[in-house]
Amino acid sequence: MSITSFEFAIFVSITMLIYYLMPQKYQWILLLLASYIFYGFFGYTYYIFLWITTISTYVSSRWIDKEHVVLKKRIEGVSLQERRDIMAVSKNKRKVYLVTTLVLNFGILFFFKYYDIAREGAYLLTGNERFQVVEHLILPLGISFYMFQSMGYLMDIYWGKYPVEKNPFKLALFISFFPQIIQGPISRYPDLAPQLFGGTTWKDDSVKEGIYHILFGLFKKLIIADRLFVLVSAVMENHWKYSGSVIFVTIFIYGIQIYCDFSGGIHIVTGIARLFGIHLVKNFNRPLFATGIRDFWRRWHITLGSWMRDYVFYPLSLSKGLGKVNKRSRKILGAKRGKLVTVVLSSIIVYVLVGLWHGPSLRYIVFGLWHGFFIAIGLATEDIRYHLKEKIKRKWLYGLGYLLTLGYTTIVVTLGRYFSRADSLRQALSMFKRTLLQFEPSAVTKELFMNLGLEKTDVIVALVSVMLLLVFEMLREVKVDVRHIFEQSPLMLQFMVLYIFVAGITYFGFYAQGELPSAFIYMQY
Amino acid sequence: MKSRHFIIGFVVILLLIVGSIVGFNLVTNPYGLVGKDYYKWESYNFTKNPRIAKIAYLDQHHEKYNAYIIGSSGASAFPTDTLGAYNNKKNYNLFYYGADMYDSLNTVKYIVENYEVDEIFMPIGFSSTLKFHTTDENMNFKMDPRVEKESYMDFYKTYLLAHPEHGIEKIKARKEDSYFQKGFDVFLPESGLYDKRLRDVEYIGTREEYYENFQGFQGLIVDKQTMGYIEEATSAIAQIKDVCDKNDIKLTVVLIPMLEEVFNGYPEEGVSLFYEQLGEITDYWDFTYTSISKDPRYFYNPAHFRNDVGRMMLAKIYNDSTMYVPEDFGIYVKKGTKRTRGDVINECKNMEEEEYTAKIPVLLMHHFDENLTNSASITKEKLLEVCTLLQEKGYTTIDYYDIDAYVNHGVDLPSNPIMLTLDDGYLSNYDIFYPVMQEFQQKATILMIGSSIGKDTYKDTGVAIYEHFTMKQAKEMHDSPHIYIGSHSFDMHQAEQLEENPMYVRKSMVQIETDTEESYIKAIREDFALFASAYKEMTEEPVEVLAYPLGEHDKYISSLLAESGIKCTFTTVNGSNTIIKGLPQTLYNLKRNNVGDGTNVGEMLEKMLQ
Repeated sequence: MSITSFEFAIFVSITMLIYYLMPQKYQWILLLLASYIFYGFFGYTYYIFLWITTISTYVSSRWIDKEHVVLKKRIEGVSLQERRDIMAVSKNKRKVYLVTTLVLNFGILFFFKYYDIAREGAYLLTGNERFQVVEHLILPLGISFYMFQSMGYLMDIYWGKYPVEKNPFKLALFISFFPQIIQGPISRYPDLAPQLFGGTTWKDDSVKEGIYHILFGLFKKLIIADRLFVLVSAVMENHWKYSGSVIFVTIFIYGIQIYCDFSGGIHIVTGIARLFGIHLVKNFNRPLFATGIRDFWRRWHITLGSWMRDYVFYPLSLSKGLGKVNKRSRKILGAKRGKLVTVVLSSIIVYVLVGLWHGPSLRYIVFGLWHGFFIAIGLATEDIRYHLKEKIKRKWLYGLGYLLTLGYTTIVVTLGRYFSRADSLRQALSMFKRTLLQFEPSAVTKELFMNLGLEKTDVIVALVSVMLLLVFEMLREVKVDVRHIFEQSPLMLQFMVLYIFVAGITYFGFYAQGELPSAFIYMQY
Repeated sequence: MKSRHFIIGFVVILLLIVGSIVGFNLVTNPYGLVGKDYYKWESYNFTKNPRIAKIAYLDQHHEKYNAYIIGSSGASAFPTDTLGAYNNKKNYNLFYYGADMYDSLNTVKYIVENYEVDEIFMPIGFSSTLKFHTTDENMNFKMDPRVEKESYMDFYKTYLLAHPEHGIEKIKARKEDSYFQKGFDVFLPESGLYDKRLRDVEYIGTREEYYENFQGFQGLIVDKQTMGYIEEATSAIAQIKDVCDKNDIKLTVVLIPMLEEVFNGYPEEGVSLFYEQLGEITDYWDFTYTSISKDPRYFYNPAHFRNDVGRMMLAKIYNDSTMYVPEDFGIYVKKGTKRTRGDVINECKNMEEEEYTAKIPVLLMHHFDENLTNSASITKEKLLEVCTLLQEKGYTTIDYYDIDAYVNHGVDLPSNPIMLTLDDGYLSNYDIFYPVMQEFQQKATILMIGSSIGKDTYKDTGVAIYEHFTMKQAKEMHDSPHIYIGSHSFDMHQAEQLEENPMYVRKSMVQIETDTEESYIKAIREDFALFASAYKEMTEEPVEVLAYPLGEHDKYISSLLAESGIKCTFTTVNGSNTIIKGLPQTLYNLKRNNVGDGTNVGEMLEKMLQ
């Protein structure tokens, strides 16, 4: 059941109706039920992995919590040395619970993501047909999202950040909450849990905001992303026929496509949650206007970035191993530069992991390295850039600098997408090579726009929509409150705009489904 | 705007949009979801989705029928009137294109539960084992949920919320609609049949001509088929048999004819297994692989045999010995009989082309005049020369009765058959030609213009024309064994210079610029009725033969004439003709060769028969 389908709309409407008729105390039970029903539509076998994650997270978190409680009692009135010993033993125990659960869960994720590639490798090495991949394993839907969410929770419990959830069903809801289970955002327990379990009453503002989000998400997904998909696929299927400039522009367009696809989905998910009075954490913040790669990752898939920061980057930076490296590099390069070494190293590891999160392919590792490398450059040149910025007094020079940074970011991100969009590393490198060596700007109008693979109407709709989106995001970027302006306009005009928008989404969005793809790209991760 | 107002506004807009779409789809009804709609255009709905539209149609009209033909498009070539004449039932052809046995089973269950059913005629092909219960999202193939017991929500969502372009397409098509079949309305709602009015009058000719005119036959290579659903298909047949037995319904199972190349695409093991399993369930008729399979002219396209073949099958099943049916065509297989693909191949007879086809040259003459006043005249001497030549070369003149008996009843023609035809109906035909025919004991066909019978002036103008024979003379000739009188239209061979309004002159029977389709059809029908009325003065026989004035013709006039009862037409295209047993439509658009006074008929015939 796609979240852009008619069936899903009916499902949400019925759930909403019951939700607001129920006593607030029990609303979470309905949400849990709805979440499992929704997930069941994609295949009952997926429940097994959801349950494994839920049960293991629950059991492990309870054991860790118990250790916390026992530890508190044990260290009361004992000597400092004894306290240290007890704490060390307790920490070890907790670590065992944590690591076992992490290994089990990430092991499942790893198994699903890397099983095929491992078999292929074994087949290539041994030639044994037993290893030949006949049927590909299908990744349980949303596993990367709900697993990261639940493992984040478990690590927080390990670190004693907040009290453990004692009710297994409530924890199950936190892990499986239906709008977000498929493609995120990856929420944190303290943000989401109180909203899920506390219940709410109908609030006009919340429902209105939900509708806004849903409409905007549908606009991005159905009208822009699904159309650009056709164009991008048409070029990518025969990429060797096109010159480097065409490939570059196509990948740039792919960037807009994937942004609209992913963020469109997140808008819909956020909107659905708002219909139930629940705020979900922001996952995008106009990444097309990022100035720098670090800034890009602060705007793109924010929840994955912050998860990596909190659960990989910081622990890694503070780990003993990197601590040693830090000491040594400080000795050699001095305090300031030496400190950079560990930060750069951690960043590269984090972005390689981000790459691998996407899938089991060498190209994703290169994708991660690409971003890690440019982040490292960003970090290394941060001081110089800061000083430069300080020296610029003229406004136009400042503007030029902004545009240059914007252009640089767009180019780096676009080139990085060669690795995420290509089918293999070889294909990515071949496209890369052509972009560098056969860049013929005139080919863009000759080849790309002549071979769009789209009907003329679809091209016009896509172009106009992208322009509208860019204008809208630009206004938001310069802090213009577009919604406020809209809501201050005459009532009749508001209804007319709303009517045109809904009718447009219906005609150019829903009725294009079937001819255009409607599955969300990030559902596969 | 307050949030409450926004929400209300949004819901109202949403309802308005959804309501408009649903309303539009209900009014235009492009898939025949509702039996009665504004357009009342069932043939369009049937074409878009016969599964839904035929059931919707029958829900309203099932009282008119008590027997049904069930199956895929392979079952489409059984004319319900022919079947009705044999089984004395009111038949409806409830086939769906692309249907599998799952569709057939559910359809049988539905009609048995909801309609009065005495008989079910079920033609099936090997293709029924290629798929079973496919979950097709294509709107042209979805089943009515009452029939297939599938999700009502999914069904109504699909069609009520269908893209408005489907309805718009119907509105546009309505503007282009024609009396004749077009791509968007290929069905005849009252019978459920495909509208083959245009295809059933098309020129057939020799194999070579057929290959040239109809793509897809020559060099046809059929991939090896995977009969992956034999169990499912035969199980469905068993269930259909069970339903019929329980409800006292006569079930006739028929395996339909296949083109040789298509038949060869099915694997030996699969075919034998299918025969074995079918034989365990019921008696059946087997027409799959016979002499018919070897000649593409019996097929509209590689996958579908012609209506005339369907008629032959019915003649065989209902033991109609008056109709031509090839010796090896159709075997009745009793339940329990084991049969293999090899048996079927062994039973097939390799018929020589000459056994079921005949080459017929047709000569065309007009007027006999010693003075040769125009190019269409020949002298009596020339006529005698032609008749003598035919006699000497061993030609036997034949007429419409002979070729009709050949194609319909398989009555062999004499050796070296030839037809003599005369257009217009001049008095010289009676005065000069008829006595010569008597003298030579030969046969000929005269195609007379109705409005000129017995006249020597052009209609009421008083302008002199060649004198034409009278009705009495026509009768005398027609009653003799030498002359068959046919039509050359009543008044559609007009002389432009003698008509009052040159804009409305009908020099031939094809549509003129000032015609609308309606006025054209009306004119043709009126002309035919006038001729038939005049013809009645001469004979009780129906008008069945016509020569197109000026030889001008197209598929539309052919179809209109066929509807009026014409069974044989002559053109002025030069060449020889091939007529085929079991394919009466080979009598349409026969070619003719004009004999002028200077024509070397001997050479001409030699060329034609080369």
